[in-house]
Amino acid sequence: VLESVGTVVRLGLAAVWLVAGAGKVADPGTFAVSVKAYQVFPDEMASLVAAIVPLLEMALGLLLLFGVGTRLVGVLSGLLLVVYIAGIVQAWARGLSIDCGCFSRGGQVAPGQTQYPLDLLRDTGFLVLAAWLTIRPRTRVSVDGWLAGRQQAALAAADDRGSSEAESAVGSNEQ
Amino acid sequence: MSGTHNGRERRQAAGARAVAAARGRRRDSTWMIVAAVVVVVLGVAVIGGVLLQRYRSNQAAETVLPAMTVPGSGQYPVELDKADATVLVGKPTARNTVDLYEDFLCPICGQFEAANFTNIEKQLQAGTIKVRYHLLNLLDNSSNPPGYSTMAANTALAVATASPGKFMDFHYSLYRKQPEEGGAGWTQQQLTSLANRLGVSGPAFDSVVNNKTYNSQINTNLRRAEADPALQQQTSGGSGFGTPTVLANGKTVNWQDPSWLDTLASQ
Repeated sequence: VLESVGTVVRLGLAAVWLVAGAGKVADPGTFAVSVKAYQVFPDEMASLVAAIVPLLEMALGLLLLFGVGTRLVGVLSGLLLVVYIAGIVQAWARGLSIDCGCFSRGGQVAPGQTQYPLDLLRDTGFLVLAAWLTIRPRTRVSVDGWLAGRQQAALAAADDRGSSEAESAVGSNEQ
Repeated sequence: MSGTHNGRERRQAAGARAVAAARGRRRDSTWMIVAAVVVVVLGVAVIGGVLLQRYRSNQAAETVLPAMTVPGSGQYPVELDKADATVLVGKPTARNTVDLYEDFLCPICGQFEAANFTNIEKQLQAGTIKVRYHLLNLLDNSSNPPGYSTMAANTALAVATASPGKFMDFHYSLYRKQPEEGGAGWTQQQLTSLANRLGVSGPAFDSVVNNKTYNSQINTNLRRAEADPALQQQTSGGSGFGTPTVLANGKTVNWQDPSWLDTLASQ
């Protein structure tokens, strides 16, 4: 049952990354504006970050979709989300009025229009998904699962061979 | 007896160790391959991002802005108000005055121009309306480096200074080929080249461009517009000033209604 839940979690987080990344790739200018609005990077850096992040998100999404290295990708997703949360918190703390730009749009908004608590709640929710995959990376229909299955089969075969080989090796040593 | 027994136990234990070691090695190597795949995929994404960024900025810098002329734009006067940094276009006898508040970077202004340009031009020639262009810099921070909106507005005012008759051509050309919001924007060289190819050059033009003559007035105009209660509009995000804003005889009109201009012209 936990594996099924894990599968839903994995595909859910994959969808989040793919949608978020694709939206930004389709509208690069807007995302560059959002990154700048956080006022964390100098302008040149902000453009570069704005070009890299969407592709990174899509890469994480693809890896999760196929279930490749789920635990590692879970950890990396979590790290990226922590960075996002830190970015939103610092914007809030500094009194910037920006839209988080999490799913494109973004940039500066009217002071009354920020929704930091909502943004943070959502990102924390995603973080929970990432944590789940880090703790329980085993899921159905994944490359990881397929590899593990193959490995088990290979090991089962090797077990017989292995023990007889080992036995004969030990045996020959004794002579 | 006992020796055989011990030997058998030893043999079994050694066999189990060997199997466990083999299992461990195999698991390690599979894990390493998976981790390597993850690292490679993410690395490709990062490098792709860098290349994409470089490609986009190169492309923007190499763009030659097409010089387009507006047929019939010589049939009405174009007058620059130097104190106000606005441009009044149209026949003096026109009954109606349209005030357009625009930003050369603003995509919705581009949509407005695309949708309304032909009819505005028709009404200007017919003498039913005058149009006062307020060239603002609302989106100055939405280009990288910031300031494209101001630079484009000042260059358009330089065109209006040197050759008023070419203002509509320049304005039209620049809206037909807008830079991407959030991108580098066109450079001053690109803007100047466009003006030159439209036949605008000389000391009067260069002086406004080089001295950034109207920059401070453009800033002032934006602050005034933002503070003017008559220019506030309800948008999805509450009330405020945005571009484009269209006034007909001093009152805001809903330009998204396709018949706004015909209604005004028939008054």
